[in-house]
Amino acid sequence: MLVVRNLEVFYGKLRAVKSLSFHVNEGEIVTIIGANGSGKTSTLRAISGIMVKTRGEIIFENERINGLPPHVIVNMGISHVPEGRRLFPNLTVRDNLLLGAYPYLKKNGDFSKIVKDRIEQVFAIFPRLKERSDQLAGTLSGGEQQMLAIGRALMSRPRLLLLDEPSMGLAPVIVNEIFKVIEELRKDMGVTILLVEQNARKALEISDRGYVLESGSLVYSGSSEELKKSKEIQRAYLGKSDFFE
Amino acid sequence: MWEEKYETMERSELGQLQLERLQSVVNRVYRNVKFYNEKFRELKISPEDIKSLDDLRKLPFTTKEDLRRNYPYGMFAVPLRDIVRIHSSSGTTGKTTVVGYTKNDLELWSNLVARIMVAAGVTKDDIIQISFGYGLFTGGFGLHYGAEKIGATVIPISSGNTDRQIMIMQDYHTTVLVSTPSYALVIADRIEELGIDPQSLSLRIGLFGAEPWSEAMRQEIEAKLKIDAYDNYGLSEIIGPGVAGECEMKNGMHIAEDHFLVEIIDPETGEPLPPGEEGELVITTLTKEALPLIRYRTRDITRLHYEKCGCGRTTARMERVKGRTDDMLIVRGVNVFPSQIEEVLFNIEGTEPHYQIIVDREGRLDTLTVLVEVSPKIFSDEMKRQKQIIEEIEEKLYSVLGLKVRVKLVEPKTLQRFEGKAKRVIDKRRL
Repeated sequence: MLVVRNLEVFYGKLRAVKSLSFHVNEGEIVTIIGANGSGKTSTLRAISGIMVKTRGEIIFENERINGLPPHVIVNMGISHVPEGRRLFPNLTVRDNLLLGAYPYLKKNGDFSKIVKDRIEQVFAIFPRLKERSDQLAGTLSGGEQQMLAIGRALMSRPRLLLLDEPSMGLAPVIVNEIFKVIEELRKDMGVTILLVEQNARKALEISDRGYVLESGSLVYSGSSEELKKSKEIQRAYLGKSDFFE
Repeated sequence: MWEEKYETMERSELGQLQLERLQSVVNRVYRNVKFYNEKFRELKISPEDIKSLDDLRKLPFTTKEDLRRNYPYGMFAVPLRDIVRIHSSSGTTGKTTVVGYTKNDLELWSNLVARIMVAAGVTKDDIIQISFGYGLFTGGFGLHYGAEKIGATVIPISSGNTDRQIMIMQDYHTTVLVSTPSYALVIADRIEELGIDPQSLSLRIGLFGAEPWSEAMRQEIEAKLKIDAYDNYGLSEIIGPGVAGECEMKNGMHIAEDHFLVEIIDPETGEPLPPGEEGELVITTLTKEALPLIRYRTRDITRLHYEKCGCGRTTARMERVKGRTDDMLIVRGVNVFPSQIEEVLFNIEGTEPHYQIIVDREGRLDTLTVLVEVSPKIFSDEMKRQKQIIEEIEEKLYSVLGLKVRVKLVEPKTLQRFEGKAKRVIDKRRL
């Protein structure tokens, strides 16, 4: 579904991602793990067209998408849930969701039933958002905000969902809930998911495969099982020390 | 198929997977293996220069000599505490080549062996007699874990004691024999001698490897044991058996290309050759953790075929190994370098630096005989002294090679002298 070849992402002269190749098959949950500054977020931003200074190839369903503007990429079926949610705190939950359908509205000029149906679908997945639909987004709890951010991304009916650190800053109980939601999105809606996470252990538990980035370069790839078993990865990313073994 | 998804992968999809894996292994060796880090810097290559599979040719070769220079653990890409198994193979001199495996490597190895076994028609209902030597040699353990992975019944009988092999084969209803092809023939001959009807055995499949053999040998084994015989290929530096194996079509060994990137090069120039040409097989490991090797020169001569196989697998097939680009001999499944023998002789007092190695096949089994010139004094000496020297050499050779060698002392100046490159090995075997 998504094939990336030799991706390089630049911030000015700084290269955040170096010659990165990876792929995501339809129906998979794939995780990119790595330390802070290893290039995970930059990779997602390059895919969704937010980072313009890139080199290499990003191919989505056999079409090259680098250089396309973000709204075109959204309409092709890729949605991005950014790190730190990036909601509009002074807008209501419902309005935040509506904004998620903006690229669709802009394209079709249709503001009726379809969009309303989609909102209802998001409410069905996140009943708590329905309860708070007229509340300002800024007043939601961290977990609710994350649900809203995901809900907003679902408004454009993505086939590929990019999730950047969905567990960041959340209490452990809420983290579990969010990961459960991610699994359900694939199961119930058939959405393919590319996940970036610092919480590597949790992420590998729900994903099929993973890639490990180290200062912008790919150092490991494999099934989540294999990655979990690698001592090197355990030490560096899963917080496991064999010092006392 | 054991891992159908990978064994029948579209070539373009496989190419993407190989590129991802190549880039990550190159990053890893650059970061974690001093040898590669220095070599890359010397050649002014950065891991990021590898943007396609064709860029592989920019990377340096790795040779057995490199492994020897970094003996024992210098080429490992992970700390020793992550290594859960050590195997080794013979080196070009007295020192062996050490190979290590992490937990993931062992898991990978078992799966690769399971692939070749399933390709040959082995199922979980089979009873597999593994007549390869166990121990540091990768043959026994490699096939053993692969067979267990499938869920088959394993008889880890190891090599030797042919009558016992046959008794167990009869009594335990062995259905699959794993051994060297020459040992399969020893067993077949003995079965004939004992007057046992091969049809009365449950044997149906043979998986043979670890030494070169021929179509003629295959036909003989199949006829005598009433089985289907399959070839497989591997080398311990790369992982052991499981690198490639034949499917039921018996038209070349399918290479596990999702884990090994293969090239054929001209052994003289090092230049890659187009598909179908004969040359030296070069392997890059794509997923191994403990001992990843970049462009390892196997010294084995073969050809690769990329046409889709009748079995449905899309992976490249390699032909039977035709020979070697170096002087390594394979004697009863054991790798022997003449330099190992030379080194032993060099350290024996009373011998001259002139020797000859004769490999022959007596009946079914290989023999190795070393002729050594001794000083005139010793030759005219009493028999006792000569016997002592012979025993000393035989003992030392056994400890270095793990193989019984016959030693004969000859008079000074009786062995042929060479002006150019010495031809010290005479291989009389006809396969």
